Amino acid sequence: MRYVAIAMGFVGLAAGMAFGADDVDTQNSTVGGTIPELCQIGIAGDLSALLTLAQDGAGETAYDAGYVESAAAATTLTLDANKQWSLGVNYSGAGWTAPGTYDKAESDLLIQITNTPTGTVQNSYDSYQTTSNSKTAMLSHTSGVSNNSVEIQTRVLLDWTQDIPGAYSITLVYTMETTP
Amino acid sequence: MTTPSATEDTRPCRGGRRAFANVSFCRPAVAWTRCVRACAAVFFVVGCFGVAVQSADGESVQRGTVVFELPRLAQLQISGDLSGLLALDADGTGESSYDVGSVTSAVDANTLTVTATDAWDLSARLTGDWTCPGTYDKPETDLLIRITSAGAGTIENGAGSFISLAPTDTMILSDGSAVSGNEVDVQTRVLLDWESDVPGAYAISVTYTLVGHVP
Repeated sequence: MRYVAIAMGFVGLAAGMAFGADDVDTQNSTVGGTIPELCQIGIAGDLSALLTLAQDGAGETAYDAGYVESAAAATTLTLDANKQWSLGVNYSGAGWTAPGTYDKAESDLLIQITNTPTGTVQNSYDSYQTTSNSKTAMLSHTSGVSNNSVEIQTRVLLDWTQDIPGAYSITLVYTMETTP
Repeated sequence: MTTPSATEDTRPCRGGRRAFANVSFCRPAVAWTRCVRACAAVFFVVGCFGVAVQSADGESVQRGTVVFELPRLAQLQISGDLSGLLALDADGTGESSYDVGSVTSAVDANTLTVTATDAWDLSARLTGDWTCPGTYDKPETDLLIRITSAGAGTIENGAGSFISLAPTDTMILSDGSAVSGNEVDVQTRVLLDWESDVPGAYAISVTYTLVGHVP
């Protein structure tokens, strides 16, 4: 009978364990941080040979027309920002490098936005406009943007009487910035 | 030796009981077999309620006391700090994170250490909503976690891949037996969107809960 009592004790043990309360433990993990103002601009397209004109063909035609211009989407900017932003443009440095002592006018370079990107066109850059050596706004928007494609066409004015043969170049700087 | 019997009862006792012959004490009022049953019932009660008692039957009571005082135990520990996961760098990880659409911690950025004396479940839930800059309401589904190393247990509810969480517990790992120091690595991902996720301070908390239970 003593063993009966022990056995009954184990029955009690089993019952006690079976009906014992669950134990619960918790831990927290906080995910966070401060996201800074971010924007980025990408550029595609090469205009370094826009003025490489062909004799007895495109060259003469371009001078006759008074200009040579790129394809409508020859330069494509891709914009990303996580808040309101502005896109500006200026030419770099002193402007044109030209043959000899010739000083080609910087106003002979024109650009325009040819597509309809997200944002508001500034300073009428949806038609050909000149640039300056200081940043001029082309496009802006009041909130973040992703993969906003801006297609830009470039035109260079040509004049039979001024634009002598030789190597020309000018660099445009496109700047995107987040704004207050 | 004389065996006590009813016929040998000679001494009067209180309560109508009879005395053994040739001895000076009376028979118990209750048969010893009934005492055994009563003691068994006491053991059962002790077993059910986990009460330690002292008894003349040292062997059986001691066994009951030692075992009965072990409750079901479950302990969860955590290591790893994700409070700076969204502290992105401008002109670097910030833009690249937005480009890929997320920022992701190391695979073992959070390590949960599970110890349990019985079957157990590990769950996760959101403690609250995102705190965001200004009036922006970042979706809670932008927070994802996954178990990258489970140790013991069975991954539940697809938590081996990134899953979002709810304000209520979602079981992510379970096991039917006890475990000691089982390390569970958890990776965290926050979705990012250029157009939605404005600059500023963000925070959200995840609560991991370990429950030890009956298998």
